[in-house]
Amino acid sequence: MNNNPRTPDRSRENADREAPSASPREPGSESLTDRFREWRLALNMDGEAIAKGAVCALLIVVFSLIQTTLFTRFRPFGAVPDLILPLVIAIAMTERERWGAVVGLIAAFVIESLGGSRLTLLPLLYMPSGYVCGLLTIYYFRDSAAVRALYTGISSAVRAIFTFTTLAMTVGDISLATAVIGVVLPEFAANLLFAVIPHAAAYFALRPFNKSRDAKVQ
Amino acid sequence: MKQFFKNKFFYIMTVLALLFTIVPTIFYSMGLTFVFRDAVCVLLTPMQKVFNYATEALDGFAAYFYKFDELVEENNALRERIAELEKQNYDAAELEERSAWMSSFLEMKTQHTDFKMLSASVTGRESGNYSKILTIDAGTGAGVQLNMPVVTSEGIVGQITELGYNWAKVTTIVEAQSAVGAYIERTDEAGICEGAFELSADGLCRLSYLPAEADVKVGDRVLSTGFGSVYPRGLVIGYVETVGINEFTRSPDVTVKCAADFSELTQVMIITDYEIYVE
Repeated sequence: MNNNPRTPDRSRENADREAPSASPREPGSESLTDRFREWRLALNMDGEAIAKGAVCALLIVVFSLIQTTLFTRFRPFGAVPDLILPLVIAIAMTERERWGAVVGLIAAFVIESLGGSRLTLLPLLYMPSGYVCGLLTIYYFRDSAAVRALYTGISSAVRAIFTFTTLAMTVGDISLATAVIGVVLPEFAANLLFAVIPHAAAYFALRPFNKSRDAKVQ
Repeated sequence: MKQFFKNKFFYIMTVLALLFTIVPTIFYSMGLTFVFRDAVCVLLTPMQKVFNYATEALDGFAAYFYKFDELVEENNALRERIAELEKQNYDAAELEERSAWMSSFLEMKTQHTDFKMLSASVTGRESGNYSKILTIDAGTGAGVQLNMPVVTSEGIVGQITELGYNWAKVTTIVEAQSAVGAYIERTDEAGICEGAFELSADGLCRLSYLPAEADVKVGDRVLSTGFGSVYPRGLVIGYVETVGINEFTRSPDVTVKCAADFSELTQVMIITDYEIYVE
């Protein structure tokens, strides 16, 4: 691993953001299609970015549903693993910090909505995680299995702190031992064990976009 | 690194993250539903339902593997439970049957208050085709003695002719050489009900020694007289089946259909004591 800051590799991102400039129009004469086109240009979203967004949305939905159905029934180590956090990290490492932050925010909201917790804290974890992991991938550590494992481990540790905080704030009279042994540690272990699934899913789902982007850069 | 957290995008995202953290929590504590949360749930709940069905199906399938030991254990426990319940069910059915059977003796017991009775089950029948002898599961250990009468609620079965500690043989009244003092209830005319080999297969016996002028009709009820110290008086033997004239003695030749159905007997009563009838 190289700990020295490197020159930011923005060339691939810039390829994404290349878009023709909007032509000026008379106010009031715009159709809905024109407006949509203007929004797209303002957000630097080309067709590929929209498709990528759809894939990310699909990944979020699928993994949220898996987490709230399959893993609430089959609980490895007695805890439901967090599949969304590794998914956010995986997307952030592939698509960089902005995608990581946006996906993190949306994913946190979706999983909190489906999961139905009393206290909503996850946007404060997923959004910064996505953003930071995206930045670290650009400036410090290249994307590799070891780095993904490291990020997942660290983020799972932070997730454990969030879980403990949520427990303390919602359950109240829970002993430290019960919280740690009964909830936090099993969740941490389950997170590490099953993180490979969202990582692999994100990698393979976003691979076609990365290939076409690399071709554009060349 | 600091500059990466001092840009417009990060500020906007942080504000949004705070909003998405604080607003839903406040709404929840106020008992309200955050509109975006509602939208997410409305959209994804049907899909969640589908996933849940799939998970249930998968869980059922996967249970064969990861819950195999548990399932085997549960299966064994259930088998034991079923066996136990089946036994209970069987016992209950048997008790019900027994209760119904006992109830059928109430009339007899009411009419013959002097009777002391002991129940027994028919455990076997004579293996040959030439006799009508039953084996019951009560013997000397239960206080059974030779020549005690055996009855059902319908009527006389026979008498104890052989016994051991926990078994006894009952020679039925249709058996050849068996004889019961009998009288026709309607006319009080007395005779002797005798077993006959050619009639026994049909559960019939012959009523002999009736007076030549005896008034006998088909369907007349035939009861025991109580003479002979084996059968108490008044027990039903059967009903007159046929009435004819003996060609040699010119006395009535009457066959009686025994009230007890020997082929269906499963439970009987042994009359262990009764008051001997004296005319």
